[in-house]
Amino acid sequence: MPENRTRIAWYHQLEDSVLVLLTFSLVLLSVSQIILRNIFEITLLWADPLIRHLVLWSGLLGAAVATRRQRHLRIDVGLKILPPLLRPWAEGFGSSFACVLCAGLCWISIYFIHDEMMFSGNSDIGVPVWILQVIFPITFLLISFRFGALALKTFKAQLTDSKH
Amino acid sequence: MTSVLSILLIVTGTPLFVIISFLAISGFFSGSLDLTVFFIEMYRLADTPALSAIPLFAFAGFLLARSNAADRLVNLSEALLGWLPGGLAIMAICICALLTAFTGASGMTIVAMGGLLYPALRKKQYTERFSLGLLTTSGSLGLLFPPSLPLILYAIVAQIPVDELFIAGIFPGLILVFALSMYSYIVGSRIKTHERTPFSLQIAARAIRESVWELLLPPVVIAGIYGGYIAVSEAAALSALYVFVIEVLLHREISIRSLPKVVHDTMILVGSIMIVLAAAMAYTNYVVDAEIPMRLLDFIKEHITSRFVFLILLNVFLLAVGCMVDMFAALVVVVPLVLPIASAYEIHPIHLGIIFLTNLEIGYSTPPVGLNLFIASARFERSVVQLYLSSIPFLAILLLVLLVITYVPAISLFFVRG
Repeated sequence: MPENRTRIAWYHQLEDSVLVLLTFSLVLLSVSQIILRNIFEITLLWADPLIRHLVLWSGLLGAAVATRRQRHLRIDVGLKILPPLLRPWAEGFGSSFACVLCAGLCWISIYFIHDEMMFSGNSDIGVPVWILQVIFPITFLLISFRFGALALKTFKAQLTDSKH
Repeated sequence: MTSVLSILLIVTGTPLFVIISFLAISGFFSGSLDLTVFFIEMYRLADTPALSAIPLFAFAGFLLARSNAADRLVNLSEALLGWLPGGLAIMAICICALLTAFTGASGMTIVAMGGLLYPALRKKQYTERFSLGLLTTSGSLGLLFPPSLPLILYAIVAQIPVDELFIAGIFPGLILVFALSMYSYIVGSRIKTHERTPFSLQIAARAIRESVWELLLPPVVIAGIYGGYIAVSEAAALSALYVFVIEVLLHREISIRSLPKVVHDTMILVGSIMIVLAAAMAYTNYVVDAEIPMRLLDFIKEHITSRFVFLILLNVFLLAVGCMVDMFAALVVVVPLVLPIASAYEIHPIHLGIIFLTNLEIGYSTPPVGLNLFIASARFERSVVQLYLSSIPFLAILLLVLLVITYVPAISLFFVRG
């Protein structure tokens, strides 16, 4: 178990680092593109689409991290008016549903990428379009997994509580 | 079935993107569309021109919030406005507006500025009630000023040019700030024991020198965009670089080592917005495809014929949305529904955007569940009811301005068309 835990911590570290790296490249690329164009009059055709894909990738990865930190946007008025006893169950239900839906979305995104592999060519960046879309299954798999873990944790805590 | 489950999901506080994705997917499913449409739509996000403005401006905002820029601005305002009755309150309004424009209405303004401004206001003999009301309602003031994230988001969802919306927001935003400032002036001049700091050129000059770099940011961004020199996403990149240079290299208030942490925090916020936005792309497609706005419109047209009445109802509806639902959620879910209906009543999409955001801005401090009230309640350790009472005069003023903004489209559209 402890070994497992360090492995997870190590993975989180990796995820955080990738996220920071993507964002830094986003800032650097955006800035250098402006400088290149205005001072050296060089326009990089691939820079603009690459920047937008960096936003997509870092944004979706950020969403996966937001799941881990439980920082997703949600409307919690409902939870506030529920009786306190019911709240953890309600949250557990929400997390379970999110887990299932995101697993489904991951599945659908694999079909989507399969289609794109068949019918789409190269993007403006120079790599096949489907490679740029691989972030979808990755993100939704991560998110689904995390909501699943969260739901298990919530229910487990409830059950052990009620035993005492 | 879908709607029952959605309501259940909302009540259980399920993340918004899950609910929106669910609505879209079940919509595609019942329309027997290929479900991969969901991702075709989601991937359209990568074609959105101003997309990179979101993380870049957010990064600049986080850096500013982490630095001591706010303290420097307070010093400056004290030096410039300390002599004026209500001066401190007016500067509190301006600073909050400025900060909100850069950080979005994530409650950061109240958390960041509350600790600094509340004791300062109390020291200057402003009543507790006035001070609390002021800081609570100012927490979302400034949403109409560029480069606020909700403005960018509205433009993306409504598919209108961001720079035009930026221009449209300035004048209505200034009126809101001016109205609250006038009220503060009146309150301030009634305080008898008000100790006023005499204006000193020397102190003012020093305060300006200290915060000159931050002061240059808004005019440069605004002039750059309005002058047509740079696109919005480029302005965002330059702002991020600029703020990085002044706060990290020049003032050295944020160490290079803590930068990954700042980026990380930024991206959690951006990620939580981006995935909602991505899901909303699919949701919008479903909404349009199923002709939901048209059906709503038919229903509404049966009952409301005048544009005047429609606007009133729109405001009431949006205020209710603003006080119950998160701003970003409201934008991505409600805009696709309301936009076609409003255009049937000949409301310009940019004007609608300004009405929309003003409503959400006010809704944020509207009882019973406006988010600002809860943030302020936590920040100042006061009961929410006390904050309801404190905010009432401010809300009344803001609502008056809202009416003006709603019924005089020229305020929003004058510079856009010109």
